[in-house]
Amino acid sequence: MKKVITGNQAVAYGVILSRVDVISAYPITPQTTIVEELSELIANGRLNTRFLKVESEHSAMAALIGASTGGVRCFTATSSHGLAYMHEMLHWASGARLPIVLVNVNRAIAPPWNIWSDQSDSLAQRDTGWIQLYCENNQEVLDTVLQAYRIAESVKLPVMVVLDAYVLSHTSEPVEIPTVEEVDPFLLPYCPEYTIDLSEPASFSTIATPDNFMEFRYKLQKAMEQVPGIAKNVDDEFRSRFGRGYSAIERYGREEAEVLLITSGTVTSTSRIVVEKLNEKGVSVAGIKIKRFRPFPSEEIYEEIKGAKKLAVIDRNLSAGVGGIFAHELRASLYPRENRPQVFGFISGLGGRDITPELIEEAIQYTVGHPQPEEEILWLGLKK
Amino acid sequence: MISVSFGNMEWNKTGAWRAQRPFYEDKTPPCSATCPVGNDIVAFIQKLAEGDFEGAWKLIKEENPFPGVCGRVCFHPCESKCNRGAYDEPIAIHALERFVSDYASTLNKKIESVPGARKGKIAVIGSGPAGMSCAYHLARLRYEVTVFESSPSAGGMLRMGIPSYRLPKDVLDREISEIQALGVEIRTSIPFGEKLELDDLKDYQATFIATGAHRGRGLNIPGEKGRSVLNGLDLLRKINLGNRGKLGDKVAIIGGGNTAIDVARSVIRMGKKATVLYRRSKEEMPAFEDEIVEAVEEGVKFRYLVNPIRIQQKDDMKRLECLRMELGEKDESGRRRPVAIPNSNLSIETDTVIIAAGEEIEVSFLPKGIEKKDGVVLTQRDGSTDMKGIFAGGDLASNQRTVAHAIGSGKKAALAIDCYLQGKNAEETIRQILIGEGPSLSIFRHLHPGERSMNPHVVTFEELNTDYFETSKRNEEYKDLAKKRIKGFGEVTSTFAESIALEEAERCFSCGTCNGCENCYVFCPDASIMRTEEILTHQVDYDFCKGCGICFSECPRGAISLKEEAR
Repeated sequence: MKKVITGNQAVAYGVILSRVDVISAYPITPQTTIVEELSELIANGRLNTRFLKVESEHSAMAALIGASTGGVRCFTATSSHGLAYMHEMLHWASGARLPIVLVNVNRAIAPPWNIWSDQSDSLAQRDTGWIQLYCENNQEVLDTVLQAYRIAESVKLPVMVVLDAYVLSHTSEPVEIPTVEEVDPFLLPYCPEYTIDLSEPASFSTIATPDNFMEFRYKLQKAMEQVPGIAKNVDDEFRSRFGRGYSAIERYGREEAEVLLITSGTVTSTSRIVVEKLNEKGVSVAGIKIKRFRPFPSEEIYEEIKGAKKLAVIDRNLSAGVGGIFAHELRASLYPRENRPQVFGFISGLGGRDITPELIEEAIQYTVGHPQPEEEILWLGLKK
Repeated sequence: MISVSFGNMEWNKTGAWRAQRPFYEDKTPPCSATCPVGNDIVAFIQKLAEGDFEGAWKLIKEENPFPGVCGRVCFHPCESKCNRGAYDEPIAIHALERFVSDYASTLNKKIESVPGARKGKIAVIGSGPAGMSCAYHLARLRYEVTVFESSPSAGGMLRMGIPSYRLPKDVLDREISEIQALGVEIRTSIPFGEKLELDDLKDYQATFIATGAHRGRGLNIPGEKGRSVLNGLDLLRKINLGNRGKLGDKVAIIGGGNTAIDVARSVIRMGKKATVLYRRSKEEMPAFEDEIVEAVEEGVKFRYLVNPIRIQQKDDMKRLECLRMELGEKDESGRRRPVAIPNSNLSIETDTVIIAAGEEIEVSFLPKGIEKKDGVVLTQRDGSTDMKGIFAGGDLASNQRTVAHAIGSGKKAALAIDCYLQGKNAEETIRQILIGEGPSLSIFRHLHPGERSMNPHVVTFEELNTDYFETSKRNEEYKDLAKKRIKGFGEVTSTFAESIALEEAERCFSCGTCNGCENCYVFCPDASIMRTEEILTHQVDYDFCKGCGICFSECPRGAISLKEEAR
């Protein structure tokens, strides 16, 4: 059934269809309508899920860590400061290898106070051991929630599903909503290997001395390394069941191109149009959408960019002192490779400023017209 | 890979980290601290909420032989101090007390008499609330008590002064007979000073005089001794003895206290028109607010700021000459003093005039040696007079003339008499069982040392954690419509139904007294709150308690204290 729904409603549908057992959340704009929708369904008795009211995002994640250790499927949603407040518990969830799914609606972090779209909140959590999946449209949002549980429960790692504030969260689009009968065989009930067993009391995540600690981290890294393969299998199955899918990266535009435009999130939708238009004019450009940020799809990207001379990366985020985080990660991943292209790192759209087709075209034309970037950070649409 | 340990952490005695120590300690609820009788209100409401009505009744009876009376006529200061009042509406404590008493009467339970030999003989003069309370507690302290009453039946002001629409006689009879069942002898129709002198009481080791204040205060104006000018208390006494007497159609009642209201409402019930004349305004009226409201509902008219200066006979009518008043500076009672407006004379025509301008004590029969001050017999804090072995209480010895104060004074005197005869220091004994800072005391704690001990600190609203309470409406007793009420002397209000009583009891915050809600147990991060399968043991496992204080702050009712750990 197709419905015209917002990105936040798409999240809620994904959670309902995933048969989540426990939700714990604290309200924060622009995420609030997700848990609002879910809590109303629970309050009306239409959704058989336990909703835990908590006094902070830190507690929301702490509660889910407990619930997930107890062996049930868990969900929370947050944004910006809420995610930052959760930081400590994000490490704990991944370290304890709990398959929690969190939806983060990208929002700038203050000050100055700002509630609009900006990826700095989720990217600041890149080292917490969470898988991160960025979405381009509301259909992808719903589908990614379903896939996230499959991936999380397969590798025992938490997944963060990320969507842009307002552009997706509060904007309605037609979304195909699968039925429970369609989703159930795709997403089977969660059956963890280890859970709390009251008859055999034990302490979880106890101390690991220097003798042992490193091996835990090694295993965590190894689990991350399994994600590309598992995620591909999950997506293949999803495609066969639902007729649509999302790979870690997606290339669009002409087959061979000198310049590749690299984006994530909703900027990609705008870029598709710009690239198509420029291709018609004969500009040698193609686009790459990065969906999966963690683990970083180095292999997949390297495969797709062979032959390209320059990469134009648009980052809607800033790691002050370095620049755009996607550009930075790309540079690092390409450094050991042969015939690596030049990376042009553009920063644009911070704090929800529109990244217009004109700005995207400006970035492409700049990249086409320069053998290498004049600056390490190229500011796009900055007021002079 | 995750780290899991199947060992336990009991070796790690985290209690050693503690800088402060939580401990269970009941504190004084404001209701009990305010109750002139010294009822353990929180404890009886808790029993009631558990559905143990008999247990609730026994607890009330520990302190008060008259719950059926108090539940009806007490001015319930407990409710005005109830912490729930600061939250939404106070608990209807009086209605719960009444329910418990009426419920118990259907069980036909008796207060168990105290076994063992009697310790001595005591005489009580006056069978009102003070005298009967004293007799009751003395009997429970194993004394042989004889009560001497001037009227043909016992009860004092409860029987003679309070109309039966407020206090049905069967309720009073029931509670007096419960006192008699303890072995208290009541000898009626023996007026003190006439048929009985102090010298006749040589056989008794101590005497408690509580003869009340029955003399209606006069107005000292011309004409007040005339025909058709009655005294309010006299009229109430007549009505209560079944002799309605003759009244004119229009009745003017002079005064603003409870007696004036009782008279006016009785007059209405006798089919006459009643107008209350009061020299101050409504705000200064000493009568209880509820009584005034009910009187107005029943058709009693009020005229404020008028003061009679002369009563004249004019044909068959009485003519009341009055002066209009205005309010001046505050007097010693804190109320604004009425000041006559010169040349503001007016006259009010009426058939009958009833004076209800306050009561005073009868002094003629009192022993010569007894000192008096401010119109009452002078007593020490324990009720002793300056005559050895003679104690006094109730309205005779106090200007706080309520049923509850009288019952409280009788209880205190009983304890003081016991101390006097046992050679103990009464002041010290009383000090140890004061409720809060006093003046009320708990005889239960005297009879059961160590039980229900509580910190005298009175729990304030701010000390409660109201996050755990939901707002709710106070339940009110059903009241008959005024037009039905005025048809007779039947009781105006009805006792709570069982379900309503339970609902109202559930509303009690249980200030300062643990009711086993187990918040502490649920919240303790160190699993250091100890409980058995069924109940909390009120003990803390100090081997592991880190002293975080969460139990203290999450206790909704202030029943946990925190003190700095001695280092």
